[in-house]
Amino acid sequence: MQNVADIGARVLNPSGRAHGTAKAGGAASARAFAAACVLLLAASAALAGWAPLGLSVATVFIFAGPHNWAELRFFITRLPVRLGRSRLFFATAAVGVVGLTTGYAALSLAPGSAAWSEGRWYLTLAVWNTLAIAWVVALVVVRGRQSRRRRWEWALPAGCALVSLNWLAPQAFAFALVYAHPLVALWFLDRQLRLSRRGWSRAYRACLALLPVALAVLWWRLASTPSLADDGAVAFRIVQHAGAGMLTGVSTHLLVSTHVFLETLHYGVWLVGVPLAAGAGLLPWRAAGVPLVRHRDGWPRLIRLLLAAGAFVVVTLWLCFLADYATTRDVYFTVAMAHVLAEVPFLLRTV
Amino acid sequence: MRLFKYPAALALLLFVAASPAFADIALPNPKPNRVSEVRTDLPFSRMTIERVDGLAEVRLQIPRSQLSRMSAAAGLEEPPTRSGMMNGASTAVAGVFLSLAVVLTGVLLVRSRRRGAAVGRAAAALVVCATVAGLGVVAAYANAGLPPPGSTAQNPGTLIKAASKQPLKGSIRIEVVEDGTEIKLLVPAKSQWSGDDEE
Repeated sequence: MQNVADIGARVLNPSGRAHGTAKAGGAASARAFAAACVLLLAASAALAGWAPLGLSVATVFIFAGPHNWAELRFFITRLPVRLGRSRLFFATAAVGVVGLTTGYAALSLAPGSAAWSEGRWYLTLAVWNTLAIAWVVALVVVRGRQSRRRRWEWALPAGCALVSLNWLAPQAFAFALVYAHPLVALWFLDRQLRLSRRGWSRAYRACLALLPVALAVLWWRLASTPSLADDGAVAFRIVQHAGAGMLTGVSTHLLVSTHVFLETLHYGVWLVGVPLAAGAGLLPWRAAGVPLVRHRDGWPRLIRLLLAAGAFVVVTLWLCFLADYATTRDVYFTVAMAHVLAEVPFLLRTV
Repeated sequence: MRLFKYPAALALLLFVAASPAFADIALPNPKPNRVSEVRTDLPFSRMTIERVDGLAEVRLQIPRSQLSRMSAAAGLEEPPTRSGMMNGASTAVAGVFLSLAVVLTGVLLVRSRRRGAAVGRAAAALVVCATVAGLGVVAAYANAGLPPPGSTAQNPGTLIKAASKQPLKGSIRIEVVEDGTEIKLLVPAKSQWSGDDEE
């Protein structure tokens, strides 16, 4: 099986230059990559601080669909042709992604759920969070048992401790998920760089160290700003999504800016960072590099159909956003739970 | 020893089973309320008596938020906040999982020492458990909340001036208003009814 990194390297360097030249070129490209990362970080933070609502509307409208398509392409590429010893791992992953997403969507979109009492929502959220944590722990344990070198039993007590915290504040758990999910993309890019562009890895990690600095500057500048006007349906949804209902004492300008900043980085990583690190072979519309397409035991038609369906969903999502942005945003962020969950097993596969 | 074990177990079982039964027994009759007693069990609110020019009749304005609290206190509707039972149950579930985390960490610690492996991870897990326990305790106490503002005697303010030696009587309209948190008694500046005394 040909590694995606090889495909990317071959596409980016078809001439096969000499080692020394390649090394010098590699250092230069690492610097260029780091500069691009810093530029993206600074531009995202500045835009998020200056026009958080506008940036949120624009980024979700433009990038929400395409980044899901790019993630689908990445995950499909990571699927092995023969599951072998990973059969249980992928079965657990599939059951969790489908079951938890269905449950989440049913709870959010069920008629009458908006009128539930606070106690009922508290219980429902706590139970869903418990199931999600149990699923992640199961994945960690199953993955850990695939190799003797991995001692991942610690996931059990850590999971129990997390469940314990969840039952004390389930809303805080959901709030943490909103802010932690964009950061997972940064981890994926780190793993991809270690796999396909080791020369860029150090520069990337140095850029990552700037992330807390950017957040600190953002919080320092926005801590005392007045809250955003959330009188419109879209503004209200954005502000609530950023956790305004939970952190009532914090300026919503700060909350939305922080969330939009992280979301912009998330989209940037999936749409630019990962394809750049892996090579053009990971572009969503190119199915040729997918092992399941290339291998004689693969499913080329199914994979091509899936990627075409992804492209169709992207266009449909744009049209729906144009027709009714607020409702589409609600539906999107509910269904998007699937990609949040799907990242867990594939991240574990890279560790 | 065996002769003693079974009666002891039976007594323990009886004690455990009897506790809820006794807990269900009603308390003795409460003492009759004295006038001087601070009734912290009753809802509280601020109240204003205002003289309004041109008002035709006396009107008592009750904000909707206050009405909900009063209905909840009267047992007519569910209080909007999370119930105490739910609060207690969630804390209990959290406690069970925290105990499980501590036990599992201990088991891992013992196993890792038996294996001769580095205890770093188990120690880290122990630290995590301790941190979570600390956070849990803080959250549990935070859930308990501060004493409610109505638990102390309410300051009557200048309302005392409204009372005279003779009781004041009359008919009023009761109005539920959307805004505000204060109960207001709006009194017309002049009465339209002849023969009634003003003020």
